[in-house]
Amino acid sequence: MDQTPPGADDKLLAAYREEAPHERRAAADRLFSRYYERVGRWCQRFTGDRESAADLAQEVFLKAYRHLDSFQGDSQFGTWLYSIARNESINRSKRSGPPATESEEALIQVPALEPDPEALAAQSSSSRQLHRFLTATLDETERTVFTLHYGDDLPLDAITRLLRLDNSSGAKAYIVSAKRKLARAVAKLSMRGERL
Amino acid sequence: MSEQWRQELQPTPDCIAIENLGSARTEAEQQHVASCPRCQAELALFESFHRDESTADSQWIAAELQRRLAPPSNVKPFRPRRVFSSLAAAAAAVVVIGAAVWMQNREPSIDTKGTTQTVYRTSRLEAIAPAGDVAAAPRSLQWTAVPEATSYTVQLFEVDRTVLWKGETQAAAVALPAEVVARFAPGKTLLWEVTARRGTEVLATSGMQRFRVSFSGSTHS
Repeated sequence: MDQTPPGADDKLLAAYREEAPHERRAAADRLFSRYYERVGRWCQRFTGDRESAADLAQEVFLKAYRHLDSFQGDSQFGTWLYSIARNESINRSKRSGPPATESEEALIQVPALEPDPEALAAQSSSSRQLHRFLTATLDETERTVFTLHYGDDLPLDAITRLLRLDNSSGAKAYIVSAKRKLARAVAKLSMRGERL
Repeated sequence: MSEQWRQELQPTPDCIAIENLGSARTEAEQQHVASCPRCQAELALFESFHRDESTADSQWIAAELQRRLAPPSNVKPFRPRRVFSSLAAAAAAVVVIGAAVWMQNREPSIDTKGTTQTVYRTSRLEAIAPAGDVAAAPRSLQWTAVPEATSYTVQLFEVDRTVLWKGETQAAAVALPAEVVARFAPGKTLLWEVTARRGTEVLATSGMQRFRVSFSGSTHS
């Protein structure tokens, strides 16, 4: 079920498009069922339990089915399906509220960015600058955890499972170390009279 | 966490589109990824999707999806026969009255020690229909009547427990508004629950009932 060579997807997609309308559902099922386990496993890492994962994965495939006719083959089918799973999962996470980690005393404060009107006006340029700062300051896992947690509101336990972090406190440890490093780096900038 | 951080961590115009994460990257894209935490995070998520680790749970989910998403082979609308339903109603009434008498004699109430409210231990409340795969979008919800209930609160949920609709009635059934019925997309699983009350006191709750409209169902029942 998990072996999904792209060529096989293309053949199944072609078969789906050639089918008469009343036969298309079965053709789509043949294509989708190759990804049931992969999507389900990813959803389980996201939700933490298999019942919720099955519900989430079901929504993913229903959405994929509704939009299958608009898939033009510009990307691999598996990547297209992943993009639906990713967006559906993150949207659901956002609907259920922001992650509850801010009240934990162990977490030191993330340095605030000065609200700079000019910087906000040229946001993409500012983002690049900030991205470079994060890249220079944090290691790869810290950057990834930081971005998913603060950019996408992903809960730390979901990040721990998705990234397969096997240290004892998972993503939380990376957030703590990232915040410490960022606080030190911002302090250094301030001492030199520079800003982010 | 400041909203500004959140905004700054969103993709820039240079970032690789999610749909293109699996494609080969140009030299310029590689350079961008090397200094872009957003792209690195997206790639980490994407790679986690492609790791093959079949587990008992992932096999269970796949089987569950197969069951839930398979086109129903022979789903027919639920149309109870009049004679059968009359007999069933009479039998249900006998059971309910018998159970009520038995409870009254054997265990009328729990001693609430100081409170004046009577709390009944068992008042069975079953969410009857819709349940499971249904051929057409249901226009109403039905449940078993609970003796002494003065009202019922009904809630309809998405699978993530987002409330779609909430209503209150004094009968053991409630009609759903047309705009709610219109949201019952084929294949979409929905949940509902009913709570029986006497005044403000909760007598019984049905527990969550699931249903979904089959793909072949396009009409409303």
